[in-house]
Amino acid sequence: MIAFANLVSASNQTQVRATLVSLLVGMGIPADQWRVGGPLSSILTACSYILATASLLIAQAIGSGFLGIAKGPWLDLLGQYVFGVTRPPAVAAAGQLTFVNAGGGVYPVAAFAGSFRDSTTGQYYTNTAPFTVNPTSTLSGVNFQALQAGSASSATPGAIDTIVSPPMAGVTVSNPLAVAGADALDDATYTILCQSKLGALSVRGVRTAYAYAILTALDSVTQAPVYPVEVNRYLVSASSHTGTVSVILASPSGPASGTAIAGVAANIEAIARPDTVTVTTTSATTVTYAPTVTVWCALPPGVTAAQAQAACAASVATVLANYRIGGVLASDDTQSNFQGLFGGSVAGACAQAIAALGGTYYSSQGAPDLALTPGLVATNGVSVLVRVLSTGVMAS
Amino acid sequence: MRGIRDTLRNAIPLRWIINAMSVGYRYLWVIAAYADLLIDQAVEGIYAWFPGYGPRTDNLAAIGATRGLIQGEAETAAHFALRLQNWLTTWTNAGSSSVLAEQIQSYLGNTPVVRIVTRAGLFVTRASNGTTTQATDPTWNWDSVSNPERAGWWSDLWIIVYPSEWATYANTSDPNYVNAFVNGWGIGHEAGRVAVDAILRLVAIWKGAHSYVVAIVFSTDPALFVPGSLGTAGNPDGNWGHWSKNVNGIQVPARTTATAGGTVRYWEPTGGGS
Repeated sequence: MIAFANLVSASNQTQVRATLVSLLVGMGIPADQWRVGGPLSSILTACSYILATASLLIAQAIGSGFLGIAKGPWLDLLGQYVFGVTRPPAVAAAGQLTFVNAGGGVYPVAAFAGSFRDSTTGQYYTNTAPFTVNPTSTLSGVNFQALQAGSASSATPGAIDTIVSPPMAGVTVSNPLAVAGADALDDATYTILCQSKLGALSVRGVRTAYAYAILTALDSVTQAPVYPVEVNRYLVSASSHTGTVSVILASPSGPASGTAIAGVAANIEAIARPDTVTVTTTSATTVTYAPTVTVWCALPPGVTAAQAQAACAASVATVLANYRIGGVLASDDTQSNFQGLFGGSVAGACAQAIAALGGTYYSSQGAPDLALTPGLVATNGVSVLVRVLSTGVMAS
Repeated sequence: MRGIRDTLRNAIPLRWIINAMSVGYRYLWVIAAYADLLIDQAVEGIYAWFPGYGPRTDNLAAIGATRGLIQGEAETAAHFALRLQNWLTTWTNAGSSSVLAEQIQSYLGNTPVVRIVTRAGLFVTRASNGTTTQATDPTWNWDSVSNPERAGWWSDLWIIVYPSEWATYANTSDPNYVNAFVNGWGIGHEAGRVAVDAILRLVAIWKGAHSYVVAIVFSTDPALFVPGSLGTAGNPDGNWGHWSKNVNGIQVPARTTATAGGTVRYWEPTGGGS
């Protein structure tokens, strides 16, 4: 019998060929001495590629029976056909544009006929409804969405700044608010979603049932999935003396919108809440985390301090946008009573950003811990200051 | 089962077969052998999806992770496989006292009796043989004297396990007590950290989010906490809201720790089982 660990792991081409050579040698054929490029050796190599491909396919197919092992499309099969959970697809960023016409032209644009661009990221967007820009006027509230779904379609306020088509002389475009797209659910979160579905099989309100309700909720107005664009963090209270469950939601920017909360509440009512139990669904309360963090590093040629600063700021923003509601409990015995945002996470984000640029991170200063209670999330007000040192010079 | 190696002879020149030791035959035989290995892998792998099918047991942990169940400390593979087969029924009843009791019983190595009690006095008992019974006794009185304000805390639960599989310390001079920290045991009895974490995790997963586990009680005295007999000595008398109570100015243990029938130990899960 083949060990289970070997059933779900594949042999690569090199391993397969080595095994074949070993078997041949064992049968008295000196395959280990064959000339590279000779016919027998080449055929063996070709066979090893074929067998390795089959090995990979078989291992992945077997793994599709197990959460935690199944990956990618195989996990999709397991999720859909065993757990009845479809992987949420990528979401295109959507929002509203504002047009300012300083000239005298009139520009009617049919739905999906406009093309606009974020000049920084290069992402393209289109209008989802017809609109007309009139002379010397400002038009707000034009609905748009990204042409390509995924987190790359996100845009910061004002970043959509280019009218590609149709030509509109004297007209400028911008997005007053940030918009966010999302990638298809990653394997780890999709696995959690499948596991949470089990809790939703019961009418007795285990915590995973609430998690499943949150993860599959739809915005009460747009009917778009709230996770992970509108809600990317949640907290389900662990226990209650009086049959109450408190659900706290947060978005990447901090607070969850009213329509997201309403959508989650409706789904909890439909999926998770037992009779006699009271559920309250609210947004997390935000607290701004706004230190100035100074990062000392060395950078490779061609990378500027400004680039490093932008990279650090983006990395910090990502950490804060995903930090657990209420923070984390200290695992350090010296801070056994501390719960909140650890400054070390911010420093770590900067270190990762510097490393990703090929630089060397030395240290950082000015990222204090921030105490949080269970309903609080930290929003990003961090300023990053990068100090570039010559290679080999440590910060003092 | 015939493999590719066996069918090889139908696909190659006759003279290769006659001379079975020809290089060509052996060359193809080795490649066919590897293909046969892959076929075996595929067949065994598909069988491995099914808990309890065939002699394989090394697949159960992975199936357990898929189906949200963990194998008990001393649970046999066969028993765990049966539970894995029953996973949908189990999850359909997640949050019920009977399933919570089942999960704890299945984990503990001594297959104890597990009883879940609500503040209203609903007793759900899972016997060692796996049968579940239900009884009511509204005289269940944990803390009405010490904490009358808790009278309305209807979603409180107590979990009682008989008997405890862990020894209690004889006294504070007991070498096991002295070495408890080194051994990773609790200060009340010799419960190991792994088991404690596992049970608390089971409680967090399998109880309703709206309920609060006040205490997990490990008793070696089966006569305690029995519906219909709650008035006997050693049972909760309304003063058990805290571990101690004040008697004539002196703090004394509020809860029974030993009877003629055995010892009793109490865990209070952080946050009621979070």
